[in-house]
Amino acid sequence: MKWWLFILAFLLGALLTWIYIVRRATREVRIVERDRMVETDEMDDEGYADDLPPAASTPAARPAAGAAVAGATAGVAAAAAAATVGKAAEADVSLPRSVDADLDAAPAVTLPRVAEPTIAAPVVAPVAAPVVGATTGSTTTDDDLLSLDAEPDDLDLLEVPSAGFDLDTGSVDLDASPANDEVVAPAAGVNLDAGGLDLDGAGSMDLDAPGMDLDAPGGVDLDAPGSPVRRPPTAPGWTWTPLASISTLAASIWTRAVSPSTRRLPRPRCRP
Amino acid sequence: MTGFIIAWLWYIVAFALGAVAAWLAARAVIPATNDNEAFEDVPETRAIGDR
Repeated sequence: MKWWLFILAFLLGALLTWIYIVRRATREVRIVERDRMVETDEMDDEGYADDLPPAASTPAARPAAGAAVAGATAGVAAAAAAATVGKAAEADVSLPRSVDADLDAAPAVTLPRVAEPTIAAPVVAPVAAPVVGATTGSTTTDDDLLSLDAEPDDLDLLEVPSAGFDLDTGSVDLDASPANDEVVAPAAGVNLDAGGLDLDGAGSMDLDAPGMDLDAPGGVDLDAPGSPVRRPPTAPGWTWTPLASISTLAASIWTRAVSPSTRRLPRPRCRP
Repeated sequence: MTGFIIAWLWYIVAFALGAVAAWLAARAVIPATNDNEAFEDVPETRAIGDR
């Protein structure tokens, strides 16, 4: 048995019992009301006992009750009159409500038509455009608002030299020497053809060299002395194997061709 | 199997205890009233119900 299930069952039993008690108490009132409404043929879905004002609180019933009290102490005639009035008041209470409502008629209350609001025309304030050389007059034309051919001083966002952007000039010089330390490329710029993967070079693996006889008996003995396969220079403790050679080639390709650190181009420079 | 049934019995006992607690709380919170007090706010319903 789990203790939280025990508590949950306890709370569930308490909640359901409470709901049952409250609902039973409220249902009794509604049953009484339903009997009244069935007799008066006013059964609807939204009727409650509170819809009718209490008999003692109605203006017509108050004088009747007061007359009943006075009549009881005055005399027989007054008591009979008060009883008559009281019966009338009681009869008024027990009378069913008869309200004749013509549902098909147009509603008596007609809301006044709201006048349509007048929308004021927008007021356009004159924009003081910074026009170079404009000293007099506030009238601006479309040509004055944005001039692509104007001097760069008109544009506040551009922090460029006076010459602006000269896209036609050689702003990006790939052959120039690097100007900052971030460039890892060699001094002669990015030369993808130089120092790359040279399979025919002296220090690389010579795939065409004799001695790689895979069909020879005993297999390829890479550790055997006098192997004609020339080993590339490796770090100490690194055992050369074909797999290591492949990984070395992949690392070389990655370093020289794919790695973004070596593909970093010199930044475009704006000539003054 | 026996343990499962015993656990369920404990849960039923807890449910019954909760129901009893709620019933006692309702009796304590809502005082018992007689007919006159019950129909004090809605006297017209008594007149209709007597007929």
